[in-house]
Amino acid sequence: MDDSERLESVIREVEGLGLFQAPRRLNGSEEGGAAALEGEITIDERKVTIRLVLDPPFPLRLPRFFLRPWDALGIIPHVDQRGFICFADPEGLVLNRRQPVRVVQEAYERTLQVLTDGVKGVNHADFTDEFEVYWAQLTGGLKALSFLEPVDEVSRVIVASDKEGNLYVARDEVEISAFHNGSGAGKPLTSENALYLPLQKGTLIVPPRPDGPFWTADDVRRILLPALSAASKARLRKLTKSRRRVPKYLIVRLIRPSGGAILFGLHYGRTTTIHPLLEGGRAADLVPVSLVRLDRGFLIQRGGGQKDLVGKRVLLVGCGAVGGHLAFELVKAGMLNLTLIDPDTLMPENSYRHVLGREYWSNSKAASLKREIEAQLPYARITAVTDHIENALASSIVDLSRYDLAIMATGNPTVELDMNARIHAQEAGPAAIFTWLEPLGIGGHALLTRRGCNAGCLECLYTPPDGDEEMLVNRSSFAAPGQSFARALSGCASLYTPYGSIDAVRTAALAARLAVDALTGKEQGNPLHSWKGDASEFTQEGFHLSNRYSASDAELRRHRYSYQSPRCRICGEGIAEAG
Amino acid sequence: MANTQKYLEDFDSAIALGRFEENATLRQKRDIIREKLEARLRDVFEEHGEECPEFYFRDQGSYDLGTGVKPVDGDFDIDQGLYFGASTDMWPDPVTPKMRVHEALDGHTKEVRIRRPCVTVFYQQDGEPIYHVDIAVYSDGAENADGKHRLAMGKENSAEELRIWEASDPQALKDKTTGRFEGNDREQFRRIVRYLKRWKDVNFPPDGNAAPLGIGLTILAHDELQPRYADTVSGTPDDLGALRHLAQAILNRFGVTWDEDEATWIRRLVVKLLVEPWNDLFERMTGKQMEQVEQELGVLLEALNSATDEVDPVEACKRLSKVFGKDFPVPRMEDTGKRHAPAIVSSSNSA
Repeated sequence: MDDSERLESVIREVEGLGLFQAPRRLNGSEEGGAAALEGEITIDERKVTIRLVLDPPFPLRLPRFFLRPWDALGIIPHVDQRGFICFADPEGLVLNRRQPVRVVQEAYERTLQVLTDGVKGVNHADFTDEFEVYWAQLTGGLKALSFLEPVDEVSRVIVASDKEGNLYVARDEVEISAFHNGSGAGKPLTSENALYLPLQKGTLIVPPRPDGPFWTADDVRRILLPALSAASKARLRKLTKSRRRVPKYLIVRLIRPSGGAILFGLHYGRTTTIHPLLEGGRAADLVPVSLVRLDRGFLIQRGGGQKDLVGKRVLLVGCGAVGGHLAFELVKAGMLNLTLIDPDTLMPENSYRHVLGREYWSNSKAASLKREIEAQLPYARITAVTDHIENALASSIVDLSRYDLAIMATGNPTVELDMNARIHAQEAGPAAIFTWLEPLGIGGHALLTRRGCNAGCLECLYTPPDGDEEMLVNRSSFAAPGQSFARALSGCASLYTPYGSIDAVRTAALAARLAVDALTGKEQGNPLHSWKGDASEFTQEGFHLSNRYSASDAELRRHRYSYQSPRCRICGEGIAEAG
Repeated sequence: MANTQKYLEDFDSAIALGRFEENATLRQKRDIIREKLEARLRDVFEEHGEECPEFYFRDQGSYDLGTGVKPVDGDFDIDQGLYFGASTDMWPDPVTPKMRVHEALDGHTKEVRIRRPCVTVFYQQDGEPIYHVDIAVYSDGAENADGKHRLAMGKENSAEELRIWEASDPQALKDKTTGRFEGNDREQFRRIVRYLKRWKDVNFPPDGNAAPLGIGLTILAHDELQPRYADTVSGTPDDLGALRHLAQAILNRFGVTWDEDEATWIRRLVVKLLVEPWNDLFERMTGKQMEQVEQELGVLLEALNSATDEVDPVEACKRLSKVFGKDFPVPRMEDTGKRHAPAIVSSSNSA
């Protein structure tokens, strides 16, 4: 059976259900579908025509319903100018593809509900919820990219334009530059003043009819002014006093009844010297301006990141396989202010486990990461230092006290133990995370430490539990001590440790999560987190596992704080507080 | 407190016998008996005008549990289960199939004897016993109405009431015993059982019921052991601490009971089997023998306590060797001194 026969048979069955009065079968090509059925239904005692359209992929997609004509029930939410009735958000739905007729029937019931609610005014607030969508559908409007963070205060903002006539909305030029990672828009922009108006919570606005005339200056005044707080009104009067330059753009913030804020703009074509929002001000040729939200808070939250992390300063030492993935994850989590340190260059043989590849061969890992992160992620401010951390500290290029968090992903325990000591010696030093992985996929670790007596730190892992001998063995290792894993495929210059990108990514994810939890305060202690992988390859190669590897995941988690040693030379009893 | 863990683990390596899979010698000895029975048993039944049921073997005992120790007198004890695919109804007298097994093996070595729970084949070298194989004869549970494996108990001239098919399930016993611990805990459990079994071999006469049974000690460890670690991060065990705690717990378990035979109150240790028939594994010990066990446990605990308090590892090991025998290593003074740990070591860290 081909699509059209299959859909026809569904339509026939739907027809038999008696959902429509006087049903008429159509071909659905008018709305781009394959099969259609039209008929009358009664909504709140009013008889209207609706059309059901099935697209060829149905029932993998929802059926579509159209109201004809589109304003048969007046202007109501969820019905657009084509008459299309939005009865459900297709995301997050599962359709029973073995019961296509029932899918249509239930969609029909939801459609009826949407129309009934619209006529009765029950879903009136949805106009405000979906305001952005309606605004964008208005004809003759302008479009602009918006970098503006919505705030609660009436303020002066700018609308910048380039030679091509593209518009940019921002608080100021600095905000435009921040979007471009601090390097400016890359082309000359002309700015003009605009007014930003945050409407009070609870404001409901019905958008203008898409097929009718746009708002007049009087409409704007009538609709917007009552929605401003007293403080906002006072501030508005102050900002519009000047008669020399009347801002022609308004940028308006509307709080959605279901949460979150939306922004829309409008432009006065001609004004008098009195601002059109003021008594006696007049204006003509108003057009809507729809905004594409590109502001920092919106983009970060939309990506699942945390807005509160934006102001944190993070130092990442080591930009190898773990550090490279980690750098991206930290920024995506919202840590926009990141300093990267690594003296190495990216070589072709790094490609299959490094986040960067061919494009950056023979370039500094730190500088390349900065370039790539800034190319991909707006607002990120990356500083790259192409040196060893100990040199960067010695020459004061890096000052630990200026960071909230230092993350060490060097794979070099000697340097990391030294860094651990420095961080614990610092009065107001940063929190620190040490992260590393072990060979052949057996596992990886991330340890958080903050200054304090008996806090737990990297040195604790190298402190023997009893006895008094010096120990250079990491107690948390899954590999038994005293084995060497370095390998060379060619000469001694190409030594490497065998592990794959998947293990690096997993370790980076563990460390990134710990970084977020540390900076948001969700993690108050200093845990050691470990992930444990499969050891068959490791043991097949004749290597030995430590006792710790036999601990279950639950045990590893249960003991995440108990690595702390009172005999630790860095954070042990009577050292940190007294010192 | 001296660190004795290393020496305890060395001691364990010296006394431990692996399981059958790990130990070729044990496996070889076991296989000789299996082959002999496979070759002869059917003929023996036929000679008696009987049909030989299907049969199969299963490992059992301490080598199967992974708690076997090398015998001090050199006489290895290998346990085998021989399961007949026949219900107990086939032999109202459980001694019958044991006699067939005996006959199949007779002449194989100088001495093959039917004992109450098994048929035992003794091997000798230069007149000295080197090992013996205990063959426990079962009726497979799949053939019995109640689904239970049953062990043939009794000897040729046992009284009627001593010839019984006793419910017995060594596999379930193994699962229960080792199933209580896992991972590093289970390894500690096995070491602790081996320490106790060697302690028993060293401190009690081998004959009769004077020595507590190995399975009894195993079940005591199952019941009372609290796994201990010197370092939970690296998983470094603390066998001395675990053993001290266990010895104390066993002593605490002694209770006073009335002894009918001696007509007196005596202190006894009761250790019930974890599976049917739930019998007390120490029931055959006399009051006097019990007294001996309690006294030796006191000596053991005393030695463990003083080894714990001792600062010098040489002294600590000397005290432990007094209770565990000459296989317990006592390091030389010069080997235990503070040494320079290496200043350059390899690490498994990368990033």
